[in-house]
Amino acid sequence: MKRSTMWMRSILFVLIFSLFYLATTAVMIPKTGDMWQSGRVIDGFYHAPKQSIDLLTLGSSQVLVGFSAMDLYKRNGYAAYSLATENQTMFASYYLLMECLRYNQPQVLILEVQQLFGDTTEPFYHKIFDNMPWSSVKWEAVTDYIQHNPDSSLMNFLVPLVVFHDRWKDIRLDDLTYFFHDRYDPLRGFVMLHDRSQITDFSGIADSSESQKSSINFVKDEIEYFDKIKALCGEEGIQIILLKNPTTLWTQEDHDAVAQYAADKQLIFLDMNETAIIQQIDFHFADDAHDKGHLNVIGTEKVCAYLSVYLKEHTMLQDRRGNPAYAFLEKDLVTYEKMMAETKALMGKTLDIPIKDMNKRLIYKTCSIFR
Amino acid sequence: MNLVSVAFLVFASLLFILYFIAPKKMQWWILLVFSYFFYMFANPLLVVVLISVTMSTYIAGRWMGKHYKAYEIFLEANREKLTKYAKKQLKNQLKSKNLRLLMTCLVFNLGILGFLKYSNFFIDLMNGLGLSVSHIGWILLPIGLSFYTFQSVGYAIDVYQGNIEAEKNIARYALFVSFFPQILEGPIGRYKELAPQLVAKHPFDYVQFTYGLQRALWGVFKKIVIANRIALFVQLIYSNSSDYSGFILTLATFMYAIQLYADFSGYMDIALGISQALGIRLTENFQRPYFSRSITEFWRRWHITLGAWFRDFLFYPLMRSRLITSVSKSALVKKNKFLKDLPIVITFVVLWTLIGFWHGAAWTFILYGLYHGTLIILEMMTESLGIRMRTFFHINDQKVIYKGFQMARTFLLVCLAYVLFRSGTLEQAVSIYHQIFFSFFHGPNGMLDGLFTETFRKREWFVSFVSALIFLVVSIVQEKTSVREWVSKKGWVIRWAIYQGLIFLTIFWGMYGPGYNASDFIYMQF
Repeated sequence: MKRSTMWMRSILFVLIFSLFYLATTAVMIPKTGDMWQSGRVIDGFYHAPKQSIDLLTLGSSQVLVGFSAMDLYKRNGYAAYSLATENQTMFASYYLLMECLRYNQPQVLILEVQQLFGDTTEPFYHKIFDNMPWSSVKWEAVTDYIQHNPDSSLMNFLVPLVVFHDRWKDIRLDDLTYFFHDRYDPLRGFVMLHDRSQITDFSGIADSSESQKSSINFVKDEIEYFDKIKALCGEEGIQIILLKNPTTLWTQEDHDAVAQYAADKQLIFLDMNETAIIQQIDFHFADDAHDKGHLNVIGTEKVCAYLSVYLKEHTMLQDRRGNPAYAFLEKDLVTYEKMMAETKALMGKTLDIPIKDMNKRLIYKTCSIFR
Repeated sequence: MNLVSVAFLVFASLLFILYFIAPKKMQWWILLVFSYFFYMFANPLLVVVLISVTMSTYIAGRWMGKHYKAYEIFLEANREKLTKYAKKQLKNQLKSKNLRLLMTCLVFNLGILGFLKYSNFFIDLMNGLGLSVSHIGWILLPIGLSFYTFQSVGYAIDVYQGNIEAEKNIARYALFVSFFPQILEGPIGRYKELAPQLVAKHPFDYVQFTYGLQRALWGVFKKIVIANRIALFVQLIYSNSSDYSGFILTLATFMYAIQLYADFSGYMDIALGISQALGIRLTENFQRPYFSRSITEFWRRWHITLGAWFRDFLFYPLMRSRLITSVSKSALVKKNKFLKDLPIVITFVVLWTLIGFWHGAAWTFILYGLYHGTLIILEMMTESLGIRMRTFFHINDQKVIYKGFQMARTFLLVCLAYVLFRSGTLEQAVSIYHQIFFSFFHGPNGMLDGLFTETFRKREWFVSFVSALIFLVVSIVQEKTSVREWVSKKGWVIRWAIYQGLIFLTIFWGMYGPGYNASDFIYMQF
C-alpha cells in the first residue's frame, strides 16, 4: 500500500470516529434530563448576547428556581442573568464568575450562601464544566478541581463519555433533538417549579439586628473560594449581595453565622427568611414553595418583588427598558410571561401533565447517573 | 496501569509514535523505558522486586553461561589430551557447579514469590496446627509477580539445560522480563522466542499495526463489555451465596465461566494486539477452551503458556527424576498394573497441586488444581474403555451431536471447579455445592430470587446476552478461520462499519468510569 493512501485512510478513519465521538458526547452530556436542568442553564448562557448582564446571580438550586431575571426586568428593567445550578459550590461559583467575565461586565453579583455549609459531589461539577466550552477558565477550573479531589481524574473532564457513556439507558428523544432546538434561554437561567409544598410549620427566623454569635464553621474550601470571589469582584468593581431565599433548611444559627461573616467582610446580607420580610411579602410556605427547600413560581415572584425594591435602594443598577441594545429582553419578557401563565396553570397538578414547548423541559425525571 | 484506561491509551499512543519515528536501533531502549514506567505507574516501590528478580536470574544465567564457555574452550584446547572418563568428569563438574547456581537462583526467586504470596497462608496453616504466629501485615504483593518470576526462572532453567545462550546485555534481559504488555498477566514468554524479537528492528508495517489494534480493541470489548458487566451479577450472588437457590448459584457459576474467560483472554488480546502493532509476536495463550471435548484438551487450550511452563520445567524433569524412573522400572519388571500408573499419578498430583497453588494461597485453589489433575488422570485411565464403549454402542465420535455432548460435559466439569475458584473460602464452596446439588429449586426467598436486582436489571441481562452471543459467534468463526482476515476481505464500508461499530459498542456498553471499581483484571492478582 502506498504511504499516502495509508495516511489518507487512517486520517479518514479517525475523522469519522471523531465526528461520531463529538456527536455522541454532545448527546450524552445531560442537559435537560432532570428537573433542575443545570446543563441547559449553562449551555443557554453561551447563546445569550454578549455584554447583556448587569446583575449576575450565582448559587445553588435554591436560587436557580427562586430568582427570576425576567421578573426583575419586568419590574425594574434590570438586565439580570442567573448562572445558579444544582448544588453549586463556591468553587464552581468562582469559575462561573470568571467565565461570565469573559463575555460580560456585571455591576452586581447576588451570591447565594447555602454552599458555605456543605460540599458536593463530582456529578454536579460535570453538569457545569461539561457544558462549558474549552477555554483557559475551564482548564483552570478542571485542573483545580482535580488538585482538590485527587480521587477524581482529569480524563473524566477531558473525555466526558468516560462518565456519561452509561446514559444510553436513559437517552430520550429530547436528548437527540436538543441541538436542533433554539438553545437561547429566554428565562435567563430561571427554572420554573409549580408544586405546592403543603409545609405549614415554617415560621422564619429573627431579624439580623438580633443576631447572636454562631458556633457554626463554614467548609474551609468554600470560604477559600468565597474569598476569591470577593477578591475578583473587588478587582472588577462588582458589588456583592449575599442572599438567602426562604427555606425550611435554614436555622437561626445558620443565619447568625452568615450575618456575622458578612459583617466582618463588610458585605450586604439579605436573608429572606427573616420574619419581618416573610410577613411583608405575604409569603406562605405551604403555597409558595415547591418543597422543603425550593420556591415555586408564586414564591419566586414574591421574593423578586421584594428584591426589586431592595436592589433599587442598595445598588446603582440601570433600567435598560427602551435601550435598543437590550431590545431582545422585551421579546424574552413575552415568552417569560407566557410560560409563567402556563406554569401557574399547572399549580398543584401532577407532573405528568403534557405541556408544550420549552416548558416540557421542566419535568423530566432525574437522570439515573445523578440519582 | 490498567490496560483498559484512558491513561493507557495515552501511554500506548505516545509509545507508538516514539517507537516508529525513533532510529530502529533505539526501539528496544524505548520499550525498556516504557515498560519500567508502565510497571512503576501503580507503585514505584514494587519495582524493587522486579529488579531483584531480573538481576538474580541475569547473574545466574551469566555465570552458568561463563562456565559453559570455559568448559567449551578448555575442551577445545585439550580435546586430544583428555580421556573419555576425564571429559565425563569435567562435564559432571560443570553440571554440578551450574546446578548449584541454578538452585540458588531458584531458591532466591521462588523464595521471594513464596514469601510475598504465600507467607500468610502458611502462617494460617501453623496457627491451625496450634502454633501462635501473627500475620505479616506489611506484605505487598507486586502485581504480575507470578508471571515474571516464572518467565525469569524459565530463562535460568533454559540456560542451565543448555537450550539457550545466556544474555550478556543486562538491559536487553531486563526488557525480556519487564516487557509491558505481558508483565501483569502473561503470556509467560520463553527467551528463545521472545528476546530476539524484542531487540530486532521493526519498521512500521501498516497491516500488522492495524491487525494489532483490531485485536486489542476486541480484547477491550471482551473485558469491559462482557467481563465487567457479568462481574456485577457474579459478585452479587457470590458475596451472599447463602441467600440464593442452587439454580441462581449455578447460573452465577456459568456466568463466572464467561466472565473469567472474557477477562483473561481479553487481556491477552490487548497484550498480543499491542505487541503485534509493535511488530512483536507473543505466544498465544488461549484457543477457545470452552470448545474442548475433554479436560486434557481444555488445558491445551486454556492458559497455554502456564501449562507449557509446568510441562517443560516441572513435569518432564519430574518424570526423569530418580524416584519416578525407579518406580517405572520396577513396574516393568514386576508387570504390576498399579505400579505402572503410579509414576504418572505421583507426578500429576505434584504438578496439579502446584498449578492450583500458583493461582493463589488458598485451599480452594489447591483443590481446584487437584480436581483438574484427577480428571485428567481419569481421562487417561479410561481412554481405552471409552473407545470400547463407543464401538459397542456404535457411536461416531466425529458426529456434531457427540462433539457437542463432549463439549457440554467438559464445560460442566470445568464450571464445577469454578465454584472452588470463585469462592472466598472452602466453607463457602462446600455450602454452594450443597445448594447446587440439594437445593437447586429452593432458596431462602424462592428459586428465582436474585435474577433481577437493582444492580443487574433486565437491561444488564440484555447487554450481557447480546455481547456474550457476539463473543460466541466470533469464537465459532475463529475455530474455522481468522476473523480479522475474513473482515479484511470485505469492502471498506463494511469493514469500517464493523470497526467503528465495535468501538462505539464498547464505549456505550462498557462498564468503566467513576463509580465503577471492579475493573482490575482477575489474573493480575495471581
